[in-house]
Amino acid sequence: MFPFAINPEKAVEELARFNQKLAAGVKTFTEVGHIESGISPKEAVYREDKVTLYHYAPRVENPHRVPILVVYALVNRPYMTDLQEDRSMIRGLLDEGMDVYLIDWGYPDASDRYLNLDDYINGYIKRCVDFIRDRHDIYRVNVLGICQGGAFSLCFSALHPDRVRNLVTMVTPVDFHTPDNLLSQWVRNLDIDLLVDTMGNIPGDLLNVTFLSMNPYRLTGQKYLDMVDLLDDKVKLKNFLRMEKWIFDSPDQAGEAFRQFIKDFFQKNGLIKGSIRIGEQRVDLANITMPVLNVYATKDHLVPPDASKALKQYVGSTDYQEVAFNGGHIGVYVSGRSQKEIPPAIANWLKERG
Amino acid sequence: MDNNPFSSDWMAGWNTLQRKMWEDWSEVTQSSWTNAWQTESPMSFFRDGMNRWPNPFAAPTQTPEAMAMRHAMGSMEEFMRMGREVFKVFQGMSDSGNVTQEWTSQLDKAIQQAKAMFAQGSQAMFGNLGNMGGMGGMGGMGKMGNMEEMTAFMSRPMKAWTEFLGSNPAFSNDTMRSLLAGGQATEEALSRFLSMPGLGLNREKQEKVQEGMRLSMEYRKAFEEFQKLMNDSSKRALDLLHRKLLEMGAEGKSMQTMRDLYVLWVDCNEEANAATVTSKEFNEINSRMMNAMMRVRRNMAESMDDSLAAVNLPTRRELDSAHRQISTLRRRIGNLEDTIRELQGKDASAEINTLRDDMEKLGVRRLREELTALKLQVEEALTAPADGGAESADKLAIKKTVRIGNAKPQPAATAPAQKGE
Repeated sequence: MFPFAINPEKAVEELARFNQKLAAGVKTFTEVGHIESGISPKEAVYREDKVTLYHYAPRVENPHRVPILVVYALVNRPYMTDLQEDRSMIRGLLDEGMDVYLIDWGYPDASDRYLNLDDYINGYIKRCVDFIRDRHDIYRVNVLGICQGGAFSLCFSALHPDRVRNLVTMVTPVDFHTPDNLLSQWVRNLDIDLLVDTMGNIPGDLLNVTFLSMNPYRLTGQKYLDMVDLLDDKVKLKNFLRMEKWIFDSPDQAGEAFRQFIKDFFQKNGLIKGSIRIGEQRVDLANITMPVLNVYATKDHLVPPDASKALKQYVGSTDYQEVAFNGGHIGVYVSGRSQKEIPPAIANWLKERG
Repeated sequence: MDNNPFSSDWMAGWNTLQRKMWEDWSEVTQSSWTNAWQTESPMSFFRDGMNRWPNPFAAPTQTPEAMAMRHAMGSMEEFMRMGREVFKVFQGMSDSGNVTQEWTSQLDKAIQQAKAMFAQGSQAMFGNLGNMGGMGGMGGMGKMGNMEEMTAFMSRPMKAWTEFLGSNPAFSNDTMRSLLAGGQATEEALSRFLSMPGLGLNREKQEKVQEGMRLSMEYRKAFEEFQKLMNDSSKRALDLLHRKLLEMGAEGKSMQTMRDLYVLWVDCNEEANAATVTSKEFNEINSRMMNAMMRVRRNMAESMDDSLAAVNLPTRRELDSAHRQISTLRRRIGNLEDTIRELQGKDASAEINTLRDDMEKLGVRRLREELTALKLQVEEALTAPADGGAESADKLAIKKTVRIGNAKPQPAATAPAQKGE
């Protein structure tokens, strides 16, 4: 049987309808307004170089006594955690009574090319943590690390366990050599020294293309065809555009930090081997003795579940728990379902531990 | 309009409608929107993205709205183009007068023709690419300006489809063969030049130039290797499409909309791409190409530095040196500030506080409260009127202890406990 039952009239109608939607979409586009970068009110409370520490306005009268510091990845902008009201992990945590801080790494330029992981972890993160400790007159804060920021948080917690009361990691790679870790495979044979020595800072767009290469046809073609179906709905379109803005809002990566991260974490798998050195100190995950909550996504194509779950066998904590979210790497903090599941799970876990 | 999908009448009507759509769009875009997408290849964002980062003068200026609308326009164009080309092929089948019986052989022929374009070796689809890439990449990233065809292929399956069907004379096999022939001749000439020893005053310069050319040749080879890999992937996508269409036919299933066909084609490409990019071969070839490209770029940068130094302009080496010093100074200042802070005693109680916190977690506060309650009970028992109001020295001692242990009126004792929380 001929596998095309595309009636000519129907096909014309389909294409005409598609065209009409697109034409009508121009009007919607003009009405959609400014695309915000984060929706929850926040205040910059500490700045250093291009790094800004934000404090979100609490949404309950008496927030939890121990603030939580969100450490996001360097490769994208942290407003993904606060994308829109019904898709905001930050908002969810605030609603659960948490007192939330977040580090915004800013946009490194050529003058930041020699920033290394010591600067990020023992410098920026440590000083942000110390600022919060002083501000709240506490000596340990809760830390929530996301993706690469989770790896940084693990390093920080291992190096400064006296400053971290509870550690939460989300979609965080720990074992970088699981068979299904495509990113790790892609960089395994790259000459990173040559790349960084040649490029200096690594362009964010290069990383974008790398991520898009995983599903190039869907992410650069089909997605926009599907978008046309949203054009008659201003709210849905704006949500789409928020995500679109975030996807392509990729800071360049400070060259030395990138070199160290790719070589030591991706290529040498140093986090689980205990071979990573930050500054003068070796990172030993066994030093992580505080309670640990590890949130991973079961359909994560960037950080496969096994890459995250490996944490259990390496931390020194006797209080280790996992939360498996049925979704992907991005969905874990932007999907409507995650909004209902993840912030309450984190907040309850933290509250149980004081 | 004739309802026969393969009749000339129907196609003429469809084309007219399509043309009208584009005319309407032109009007709309000219009147109310930036015409950025109108004048450029609609799906050129991918190329633009890749072009931007090696270009120090380029800057992202587009809003998400403009970008997304451009992409939607691109999708629409490809969607329309797909429709036109697909029906063109099926019209040919229809003209033969026996659609139901001959469609499989016609489809097979179309697929084989498309695959032959890849088998020709290369640039039919990828054109005369400089490259593009990512670390997981789809190629190199040197000469971005010529990567449009590859980008288009990646991001526009429907464009690929049309090109498979040979609708674009710009990428004819003849063109490709001539390019490849030229490449080989150039390679031989370069090999001869590179074997010449350097002499005299310009010896070093000549050697650098020769090194740069040698690196370029290595990169070209690496890129061709990459192209072949991606061509093979595209051929697998065609095989998949072929198979799935035949399966549908055999099972008596059929596609109801153009969108179904588009989605099927995207699925086939994604499936083939996934198999390719997860292979060990891809990792090796892609890395080889990236590394080769970086060597070329570094050689170019060094040559540029030499030229800048010759006219007393700042070089990349000098800027790097300055940036390194800035970072070192920043680090030193940060460390000094940390040291001062520690000396000022802000962290002096950290260890004690940490211990106190650990004790709190062990339930010491609860024990303390229980102890306090017990002491109060003892005190009440001791101060009961039964003894007639006379207090012994022992009782006084107990009262004193109770006061010390009572957290409520003792701010000095309660403050650390609060901090410990």
